[in-house]
Amino acid sequence: MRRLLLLLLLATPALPQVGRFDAGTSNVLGSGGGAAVYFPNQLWYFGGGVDPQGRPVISVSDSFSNRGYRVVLGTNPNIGLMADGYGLALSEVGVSVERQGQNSSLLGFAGTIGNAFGTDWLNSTRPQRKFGTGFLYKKNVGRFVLSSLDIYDGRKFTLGAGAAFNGRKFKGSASGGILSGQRFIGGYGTYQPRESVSLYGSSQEYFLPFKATLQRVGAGWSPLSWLNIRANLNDSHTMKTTTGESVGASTRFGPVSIGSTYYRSPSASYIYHVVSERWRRFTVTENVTQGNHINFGISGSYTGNRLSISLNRSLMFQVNGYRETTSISVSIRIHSTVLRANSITDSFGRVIWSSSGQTIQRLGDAQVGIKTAATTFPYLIEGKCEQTDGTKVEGCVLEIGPKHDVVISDSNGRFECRQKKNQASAILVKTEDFLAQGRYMLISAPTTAKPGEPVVIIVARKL
Amino acid sequence: MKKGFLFLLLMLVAGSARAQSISPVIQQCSTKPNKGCAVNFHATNTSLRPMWVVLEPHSMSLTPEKKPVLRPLDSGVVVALSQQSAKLYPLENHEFEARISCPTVRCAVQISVIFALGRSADNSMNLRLSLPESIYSCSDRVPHGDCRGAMFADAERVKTGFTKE
Repeated sequence: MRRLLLLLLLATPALPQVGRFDAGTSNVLGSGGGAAVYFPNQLWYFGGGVDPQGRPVISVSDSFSNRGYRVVLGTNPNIGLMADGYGLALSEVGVSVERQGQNSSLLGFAGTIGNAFGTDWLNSTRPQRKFGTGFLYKKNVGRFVLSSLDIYDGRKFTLGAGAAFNGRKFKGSASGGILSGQRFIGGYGTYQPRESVSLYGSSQEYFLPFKATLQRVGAGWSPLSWLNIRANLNDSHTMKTTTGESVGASTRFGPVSIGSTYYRSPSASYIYHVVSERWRRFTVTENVTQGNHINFGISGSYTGNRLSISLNRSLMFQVNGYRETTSISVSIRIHSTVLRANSITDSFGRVIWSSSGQTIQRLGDAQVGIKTAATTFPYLIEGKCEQTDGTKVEGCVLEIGPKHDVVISDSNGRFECRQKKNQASAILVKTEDFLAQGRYMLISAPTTAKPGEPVVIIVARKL
Repeated sequence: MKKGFLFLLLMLVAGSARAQSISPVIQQCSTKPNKGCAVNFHATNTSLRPMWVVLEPHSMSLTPEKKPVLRPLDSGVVVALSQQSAKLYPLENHEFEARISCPTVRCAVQISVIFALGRSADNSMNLRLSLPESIYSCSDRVPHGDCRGAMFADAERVKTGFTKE
């Protein structure tokens, strides 16, 4: 067994394809970074930093898939009952093996188990001291996904069950059980019986640094295409219970939207008026808050391909009721590198900030890039790809023009490419790259194509 | 104080699920008669492998039950795409432009944005994901430029027996 594990650990995979590198810091989330190296069927991850309490954390894992099995050595952050961000997030440091079937999966694991700790720059865990072992079973039944989690750490059991449903009008999930002697239950649901009506509710429990529960229900109604009415109830349980209610309406006239919302919580009540104008990629918002005194505010945002920046003022529900908050967000994208900075400031002047960066780099023959805005050039080169008997071929791959623009035929065998100039362009048919099932050889194709003169490419499937 | 801090923290780090995506999924453009209009949309490859994207435009109409029905492009409807297909590199956000010209007062086009992984072996499956981009075009005389609402109203009139304008 030891030899097998050593062999799996040291097995040299194929050439790496893509590397993802993250780094970040925050005044409350700690600091750190990680590197993930992607191979065709394998992933290496190395990460490290300090957690919110300033203690060092390290995360190392090697996961690989083969013939329906996935093996993870090191940190596996996905052994909990999570669906769409709700549920129980657990992480394990040790060995886990998952058998993936057509409608079910079974994950068995052994190691130290703890609550998952994730940020934009590091996925890690704070393992409990006890060694544990367990199973996570998932099964698809129609539109349901049913889950069962069983862990025994030598002293206490963790037992949980979950169900997720994804239907046309209803979507939701629920999970519950006992986590090392502590009861947990949570879930969410959205129901849209008609296009103009939506209902939603959620309940989530948090265990670190102390147990907290946040519950929310709400409804939205659009009786007219330009009118939206909504109401929310919020409830938080920590050492004390706090509730909050809000009801509001908004309307929209072209690029201008106007809305008013009444917020009430035990500590304070507000009426919040907002007018927002949108022009191309810019949004400007003016707001008036009526409470103990009247506050005026202005905020705005710009959203572009490479740069997004926003300053937003809003009322958020917190453990002591609704509070005015100001958030600032900046995101800069340079090729395959993204830099982000966020901050939230509440009405007491407390600031939570974080900044992080991520870059994706080509390590093997894969390419990484970000394209610029689209332009529709006037000259159209078009054609069709078919077999000798006239059957249309979907997924033919061609390179056209001096820039080697790659075009692919659609389900009717048709392809097109737009050019800036009205001139002939070279055509290269890449049968080895065809997306169509099977292998193909080229029978006939022109070497050049001109706008206005449809091209016919004839291929034959190899037997 | 500390608890309030925790909730602010949760708001700050709240994440979202990732999948191949297009945005926006529904667009409206009102224009003067016999003049086309242009809309832009983005296709995002959130995976760490290159993917192919192929666009297929169809004419779309609504049944009295407001269900969409797709068919080949009607005669006279012209959809000019900036690119009919593209290779999206890992995490790439690619912008497409569609210029639509309709011979009638209002028309709807649905562009199937088909993501394909490509073939990794001769005997492998070619998995494809098709996401619909719906574009409603109408005359600029429709109130508030609500082309989609006008088409839904047309479908409702057919259902309730009123004759179409």
